[in-house]
Amino acid sequence: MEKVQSASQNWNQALTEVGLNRDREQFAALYQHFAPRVKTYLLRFGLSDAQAEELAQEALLQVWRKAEQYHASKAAASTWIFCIARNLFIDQQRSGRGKLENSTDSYHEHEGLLNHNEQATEDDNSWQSSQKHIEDALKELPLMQAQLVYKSYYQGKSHSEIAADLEIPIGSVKSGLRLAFKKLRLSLAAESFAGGEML
Amino acid sequence: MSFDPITITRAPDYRLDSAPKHHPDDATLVSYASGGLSAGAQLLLQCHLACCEHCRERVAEAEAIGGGLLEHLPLAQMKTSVDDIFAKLDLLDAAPTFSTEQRPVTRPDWLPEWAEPVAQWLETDQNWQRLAPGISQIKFDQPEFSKDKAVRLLKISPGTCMPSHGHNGSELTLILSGSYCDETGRLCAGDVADLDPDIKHQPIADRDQDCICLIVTDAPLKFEGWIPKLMQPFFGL
Repeated sequence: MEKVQSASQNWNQALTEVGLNRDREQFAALYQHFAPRVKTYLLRFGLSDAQAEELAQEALLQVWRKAEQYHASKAAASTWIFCIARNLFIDQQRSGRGKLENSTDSYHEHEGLLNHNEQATEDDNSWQSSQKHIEDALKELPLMQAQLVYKSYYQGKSHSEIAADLEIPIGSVKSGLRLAFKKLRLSLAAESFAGGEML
Repeated sequence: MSFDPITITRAPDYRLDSAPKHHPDDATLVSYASGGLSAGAQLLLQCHLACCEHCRERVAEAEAIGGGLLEHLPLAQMKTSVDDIFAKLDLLDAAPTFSTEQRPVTRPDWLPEWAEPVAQWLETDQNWQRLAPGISQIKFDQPEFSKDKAVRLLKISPGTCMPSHGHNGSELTLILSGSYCDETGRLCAGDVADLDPDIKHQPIADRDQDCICLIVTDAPLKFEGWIPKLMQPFFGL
């Protein structure tokens, strides 16, 4: 019986093809899958719709330009694209372009959003099931830890900013993030064992 | 000046004589990966990561969490269609590839190769400013560091004893050359001290050579005793 590649590996493969062959069809697929997610990511940081649209576009154009530097052995396509979007946001914030509107305030308000994305395409199924691990792991975190992860990853806040937001000591921010990271990386490791590492 | 440091694809790999033994807190590595560090802390981490495989692996894991979270985000409506994007790709591909000429940065002798990113923030002929006997500093006041309380290089003469101090916020220290000892042990080139606000320490530079460190603070240091209090204005905190 033929092994079915997980969707995550499909994306890794697609990105590799873009790097090797400037494959536009694969790029179109990557664009349609990732651009809307990158835009949401940027909206969470408090960018306006127009800014987020522009930066999401720029991120995907960088994917096109830099695809040769991608190595599937080092990171999943989603991780690589996350890094590009994050760097773009940091650059734009420091260069002073674009003022931030108020960013969404808490993980709690958005907890539901993690669930409602059921727009997976047919080939997404196996990826979705392996990705369940990280989603589940996130849900199993105590609310405070989930809040810390949310503020770090979706708002790009520093320890002292988070401490001020939540009115807790910096030491508690750090210990909470430490614990959350420990749990999330365990679930990630479990995922790569359970996931499609059987090629 | 662009910060374009943290793509996992091009982490340089410098080997030190011995791998760093003191690492940033996991919480700090997570913030590096999630994009939450101030510019100063990011600069410091960038240097440490260049010489620390252990932390590069940790950061890769934290970035993979970011990738996983990205996959789970709901979809926003993109106004730009695939056709629009293809038109842009045509423009990109047709454009001559101009090399983004980086201004050559000269690295002073005392700055190790793996800490090269620090060099771009130094003025040419930058002088050390004397703070107290045996202690001098270079302070980075660029607007890029406005979110940091202070980003500075400290040069401590052999055997000099720093005042004992605690912190209101967090303090990150990266040893660039030389070494020092404090309550947490002996820190050598490449090591990072990532101190929580409640920790007090009193570093003493080792006797053989100057100890040079990069220190990033995000709140005023609290000094104890009258001599250190007098010194505080010199530190400009």
